[in-house]
Amino acid sequence: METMGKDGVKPGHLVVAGVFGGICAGAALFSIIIVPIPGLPGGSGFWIPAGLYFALTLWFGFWGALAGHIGTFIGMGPFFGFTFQVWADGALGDFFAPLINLAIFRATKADPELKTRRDQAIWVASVVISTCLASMWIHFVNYSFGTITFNLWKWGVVAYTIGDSAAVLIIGTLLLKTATKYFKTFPYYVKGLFS
Amino acid sequence: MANLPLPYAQFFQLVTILYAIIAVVAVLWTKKLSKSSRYYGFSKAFAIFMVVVTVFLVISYAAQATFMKWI
Repeated sequence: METMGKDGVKPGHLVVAGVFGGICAGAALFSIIIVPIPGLPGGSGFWIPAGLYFALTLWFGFWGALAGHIGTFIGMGPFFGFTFQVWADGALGDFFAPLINLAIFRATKADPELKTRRDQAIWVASVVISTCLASMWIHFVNYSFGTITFNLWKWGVVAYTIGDSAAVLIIGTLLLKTATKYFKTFPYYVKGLFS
Repeated sequence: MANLPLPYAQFFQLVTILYAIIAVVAVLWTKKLSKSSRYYGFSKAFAIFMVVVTVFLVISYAAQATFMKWI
């Protein structure tokens, strides 16, 4: 994967991460439609911010994922009564998932504008794969800390993968198809990982 | 449930209104710029982003209000 463009990392990339991180925080705080599963903290629901930070990561690379991480860390964190381990773990998973998605996009040279059937197929597959991997990791950490049982680990992975994938495929697709061509003209649009 | 500076529903409404104002300002800014402006692409994309976020905040509010019987 390309890690540095010819222009390099600029302070503006940090500004992008901060501004969109703030926007994601408000969304993370409120815009989840929870489908509660007893004994499974924060593990299921239609997680609307996921659609935002998956799109942000395809536009701004690492900085978009960082924005999502900042947003979910702040939004999920101190307000909902989860233990530090649960929300820090969740926010870290929300950092890895879009980066895995980005890695698949870069490896396959797919275009985030999703104009072709190939790009659309890669988008759908990469969202499900990256969300599933992130959910396995998140619930593995919760299982390791004794927060959930192994039986709930399985249901957590299934519920999280369905809920996050649905949100990303609805909201992320909408954002990518409408806004990507405009963000491509922005100087801080990222073609590799960092720049 | 939440340890927020305002009751959850009120804070939710406040944030949604704030996001809606930012979305409207972004749309107006885009309309004001000419297409040849170096900021046009970003302002248009940002306006789309904010409109989408605001719409889904409203949907989320309606869903939560229904489930929690606020309305």
